[in-house]
Amino acid sequence: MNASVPFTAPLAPLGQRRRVVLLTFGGYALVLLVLALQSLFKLGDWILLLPIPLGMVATFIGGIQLMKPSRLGLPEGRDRTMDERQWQRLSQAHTVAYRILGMIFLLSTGYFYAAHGQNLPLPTSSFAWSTIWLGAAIFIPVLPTAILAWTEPDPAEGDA
Amino acid sequence: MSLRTAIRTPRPLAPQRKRRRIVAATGIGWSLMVLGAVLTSGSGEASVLGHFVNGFGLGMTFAVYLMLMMPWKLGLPSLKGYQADERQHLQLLQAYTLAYRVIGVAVLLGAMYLLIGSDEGTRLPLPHTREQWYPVFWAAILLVGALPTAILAWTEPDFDDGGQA
Repeated sequence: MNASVPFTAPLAPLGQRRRVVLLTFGGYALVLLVLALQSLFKLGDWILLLPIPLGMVATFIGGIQLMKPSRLGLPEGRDRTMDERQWQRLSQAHTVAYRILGMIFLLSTGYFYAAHGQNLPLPTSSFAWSTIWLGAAIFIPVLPTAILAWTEPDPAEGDA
Repeated sequence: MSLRTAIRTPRPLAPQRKRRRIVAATGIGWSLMVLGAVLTSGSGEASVLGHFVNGFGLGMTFAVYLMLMMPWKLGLPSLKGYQADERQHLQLLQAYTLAYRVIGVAVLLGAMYLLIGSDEGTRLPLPHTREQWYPVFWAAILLVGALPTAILAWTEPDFDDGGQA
């Protein structure tokens, strides 16, 4: 995954791409953390007032950039002009994403299974479920692009 | 790149009809498991029927599932196992790409179902107890573990007569 691939648009610097990824997933992690804390300690809705909008806005801002990979100089999934190496890099990102999503899927299902009968926090309100769903609706489509944005190295000076 | 190109593996590729039977049997067993899980969240006779359907589906799935967990036995490549060449590796990556999309849609639909079902106005069956989550947990494990191989097993064509090793 370390070979540099030539993309049609200039590739954004690695630092910038990683900031976008951190913004997207950091925002969603903040939302999940606050919902878990509220459920665990039976806190009032006041705790949601600031972190939830903040987290969701961060996820939206980062997610929008990752949903249009060409803005970061990364290949689009449906681009027929991609060469074989670009296609392979994108497929590798999907493979890693499958493993990550599969692991999250299994862990979350296992968590729901274990949480019943234990004193573990669970989402109960429609608001909590809506927020989780909205975050997942952004997280899942952009995950392969996020992996590619995170792992693709900056081009060597001679290639720029 | 298309999945319609035959690939070669050290073990002879099992006939497509056999591979598809295995995938179909796993899919039917898995669907029965999920249906049983839904029924068990009901009450009375529906719950009893749900346990029966779920157990039957689980047994049926396990009977054929191991074949998908050991793709080399069907002459198929795997990420950790044998891959003859780059083309074969690409076929496998393409199966993972499709599997990611399927799992992604399944997760989103599942979360939407829980979202709608958590509204007290609706009467959708939802798992509430540990026992009701148990079959859902198993269904998730089986789906994630076998889906890429199942896609490859279903789509990989038989070798041409002239191309048989």
